[in-house]
Formats: sequence, structure tokens, C-alpha cells
Amino acid sequence: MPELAVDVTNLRRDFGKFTAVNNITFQVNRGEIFGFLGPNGAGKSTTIRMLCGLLKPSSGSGTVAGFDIMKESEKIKSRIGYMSQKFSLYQTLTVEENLNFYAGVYLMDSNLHAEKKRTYFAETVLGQLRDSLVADLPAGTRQLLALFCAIQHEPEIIFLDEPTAGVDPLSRRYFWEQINKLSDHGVTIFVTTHYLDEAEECNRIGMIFNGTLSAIGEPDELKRTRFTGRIYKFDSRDPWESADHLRGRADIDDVVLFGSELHVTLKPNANFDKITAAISAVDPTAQNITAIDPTLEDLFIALINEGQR
Amino acid sequence: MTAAISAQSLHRTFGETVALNNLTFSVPEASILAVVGPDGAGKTTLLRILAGILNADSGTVQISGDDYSHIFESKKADIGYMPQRFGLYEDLTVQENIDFFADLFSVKGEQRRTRVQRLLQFSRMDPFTDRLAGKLSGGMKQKLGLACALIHNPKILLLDEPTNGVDPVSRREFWRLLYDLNRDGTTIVISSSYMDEAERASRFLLLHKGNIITEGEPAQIRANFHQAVYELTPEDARVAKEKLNSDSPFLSISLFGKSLHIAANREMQLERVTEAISSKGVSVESLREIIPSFEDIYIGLSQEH
Repeated sequence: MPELAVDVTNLRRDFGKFTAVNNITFQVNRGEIFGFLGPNGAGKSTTIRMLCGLLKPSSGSGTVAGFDIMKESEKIKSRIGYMSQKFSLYQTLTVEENLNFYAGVYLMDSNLHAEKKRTYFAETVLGQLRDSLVADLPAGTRQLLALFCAIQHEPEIIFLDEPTAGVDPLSRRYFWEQINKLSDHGVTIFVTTHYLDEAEECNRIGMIFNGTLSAIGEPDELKRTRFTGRIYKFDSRDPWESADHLRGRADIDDVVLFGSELHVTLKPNANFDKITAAISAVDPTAQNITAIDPTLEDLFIALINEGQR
Repeated sequence: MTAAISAQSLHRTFGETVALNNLTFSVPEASILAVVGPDGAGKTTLLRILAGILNADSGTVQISGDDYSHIFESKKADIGYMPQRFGLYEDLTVQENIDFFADLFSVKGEQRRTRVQRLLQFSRMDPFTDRLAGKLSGGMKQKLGLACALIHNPKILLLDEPTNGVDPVSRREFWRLLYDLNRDGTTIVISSSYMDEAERASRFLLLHKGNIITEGEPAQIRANFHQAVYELTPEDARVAKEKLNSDSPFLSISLFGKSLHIAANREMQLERVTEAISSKGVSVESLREIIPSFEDIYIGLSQEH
């Protein structure tokens, strides 16, 4: 197996006059969890579909699992698992029948399949639901079944396109435990998500905006090197008034409300003392002004604002 | 003050499944209530009953003090409801969708002109009025859905997981819109699977299998939470979690990025917490007690039920 699960150069895809993916170049190491982040419509799904061999790039070159993305898409398909945003589970089949169906599609060895089912049924809620119709499953459980359908044949690389959208917090945690286990076994995970707390768990992340890759690296490293502002939070009895006053200032980038708490992002060259004084002047109820570390969400939003300027 | 919504012993079953089990709660005027809970907890059923499109088997709902059964259609118009899959017409443009909902709610004349204009500006959709709804990004679809739900100027807004699959930037923008509405006096009930959204609301209601696990203002819920939560940032959080999980005296150990949150009984002395961790060969150097986040509270309370 090659050391690079994904290795692409100047990958590009046009739809008519619209460039969905604009010459992106990046690598994903074998066995790592790679988070692919970006706003709706940034080109995430288009990239995944090209990497999976489902969509031909307009130009560019590279390999997935060691095979040429332009010429060997069939070989790629047999080595990957792909869970799309609307993964096709059969609504009128039961949980077990769906697993059986996908095992057939991937020509799985029957012993291996029996073992996989035993594990899934023993470890998860699917055990009690094996004879339930998929149509009757709650959203989170359905996503879990879709994941198992996509990974039971033990692919080398798994592409997950927003696998946890609308899944409740505890199910999301369970889902990520599975992803971590797979990665421990050397499987490469390529995952998109809008929950940036999940992205914090990735080994590396790439951020794509308007078809262009604007950041790639480890989460902590990116926060350190790419987030140039500083963030302070404080409590207020009148957060709206405060936000209104602070939003107009030239030395402030962004003001976000969290209930009675405000998060204020300072521009890189802003003077903290001046801003503290300004906060106290416009909001006498302001309390506990403290510096906080930026989250990936803060970085994500800062990079987008940067791109729009 | 009259509550915007007041529910008394709401009960609803589907066949043998109890979707809502005698729920009693109220939503003060001009507050934002976040309804949170796992799949199948009853969130959608609750919102549909509050919207008046599904009947409860028993119990009552009062809207601004009036019993639901006595509410005339005119009063129902005080409610805006955005279901999980909002019925936008994908082959109509943004403008046509808004016009359609304006017709539906008989919003006419000068009032209609100004309101449509305001909603387009406020949702920043004005550059896209000619775009087909089917061609909008996820975040923009949700904003259009919100604009359509607001066309008749409702006093109460019910939103069923409006931000699923919406990117962080659009989510922040969506919440800014909600705060603006709330500031003008609109009461908002929003269900969500994002815990940071629960933190943004002024009240929180945790549903589990049709029962209310906890309900109230954030400060009150934090104060009532009976677990102490410690944060630990070991060299390798996942390895440390593995070690701590075996034969653990703790209530739960959860991964938060590169840190662990360790929940323990409040009665457990810090000394014993420290001891229990170091006895598993995990360094306690970074250990500190933290204010539990809503995710911690959610994990703690869900596991008890």
C-alpha cells in the first residue's frame, strides 16, 4: 500500500462556466483522519466525487490508493468506501437486508460478513433493530447503518460526506469512536462536516472556499499560524446594545452573541486596553472580560472574511 | 407576565409508542427556548402540536393565555412554523416563493411591499430574488425558509432543526437574524442537535423519550446539575481515555478535541479524583475543574435515563 492515500495536483472541475473546484493540490497520509471543511457550495462534494472515481476531473492529475484518478477509476472504486450525503439505504428493506445487499455489491466473503454483522449487532442499537425497516429508523440510527454499509467490506480509504448532519450529540460521539477505531487499523478517513468540534479530532484538515484550498494542516497548527486576531469574551446584561456599539468599530472584526455572553474578535493590530475601555464605556454591565483560545469555527469564519475582503 | 406558550400535561401516543409523556412547561414572552434531545425524543411531535397541526391526545396548550381549542384562525396566524423539511418550491424563484407565502397568509398591498422588502434585506437575499430556490445553497435555503415563515409577522416562531447541514458562517448569520427578531419581541422555540445553539438560547429544554429531563434558564440548569466536570489534557487523550475507562469510579469520560472531560459525583473529593486518575498511570498535571458546558450536561443527564 502506498504511503499517500490521496495525492492530487491541480485538480479542477468546471460545470459550464462555473468552476466548482479550482486547481487544488494536496495529500492525505495513509491511516489519518482528514477533515475537509468549507461552506455550503464550496466544492467539497465535487472533490469527493472526483476522488472516488465518480466524476471525471476537467483537468489535473493524481492518485487515490495508488491508482490514477484519470485512468483507473474502476480500480479506485473497489478499494474505497463512500458514504454520500444522501446515502441510498433501501427504505423497504430491513437493517440486516441492507447490510446483506451491500455485502453482495462488494462481493464480500461470507465469513467476514457474518463476523461484521455480529460485531455491529452486539455493539450498537442496530442489534435490537436488525429486523426493522429502514423507513422506521430515526435519522441518527440510519446514518450509523449507512456507515456500516459503506465500511463493512474493509476498504482502504473511506469518504464520508457530512455523515453526522442532524445526528444527536451522543450518537455523534459513538460515530466518531467508530471512525477513530478504523483509523487505528490503518484505514484512511476523508470526512466533511459542519460540526467544527468534530473537526478538532481530525489529524489534519483542509479548508476549501469557492473551489480553492485556502488552508491545510493540523488543527492546532492552523489556529496558531493562520488566526491572526485575538478573541475576548465578556458577560453582559444588555448584550444586544453592546454588540451594536462594538460592531461598528474599526479595530473589531466580529462580535458574536452567545446568550448573555459576547465573543469579540479583535483585529491583529488592535489595542486591547483601548477596547476594554470602550467596552466598559458602552456597557457598564460588562463583566469578566477574558481572553479565550480561538476554536476551529473562529478560524473558519476569519478565513472566509479574509477571502471576501 | 403572560407566557407566550403554556403547555399543560401534553400527552401524545402513536400506536404503542408514547411520543410525549404528560409534558408541562411554559415559554415566557420574548424568550428563545432551545429544545434538545436524541432521535425519537419527541421534538418534532412537540413542535407540531405547538404549531396546531397535530392534536395532542390529552392536555392543553395556551397561546398568550388563550386555550388552543378556542383559538380562532386569526390567532393561529400569530404563529410561524418552519418544519424540518420546509416546503419551498424548488422550481420557483426566491421572489416567487415569498410571494406565494404572502398570498397564502393574505398579506396585501402596501404592507406586503414593505414587509417583503424588509425580509429580503434582513436575510440578505435581495441580490438573489431571481434565483430558483432549487439552486440555492443549504444555508440560503434555510434563510429563505425563515423569510417565508415570517411573512405574516408572527409573534411566535417555531423552528424544527433549521440549521441541520448548514455551514458555520450561515449558522452564525441565521442566529443573528433570530436575535434581531427576538429583540423585537418575537418568542422563538427552536429544536437543534447543535449544543452550541442550546447555549445561545435563553431557555433550555431537554427531552428524552417523551419526558422532560430538565428545563429552565441556562444558569439555573448549570446550578442544578449535580455532577462535577474536570478537564484533563493528557499527551494522548484517546489513550488516556482507554486507561481511565477500565474499572472507572467516574460517571463518564468524554473526548473534547484534544482534552477529556471527566464527570464525577460532586461528593467525590478532588483528592480522590486526582488519585483515581494517577493510579491509572495518567498524568494529572493539567487537571482542573470547569463549568460544565451544555454538552457535558446533555451527556450527564442522557446517560442517567
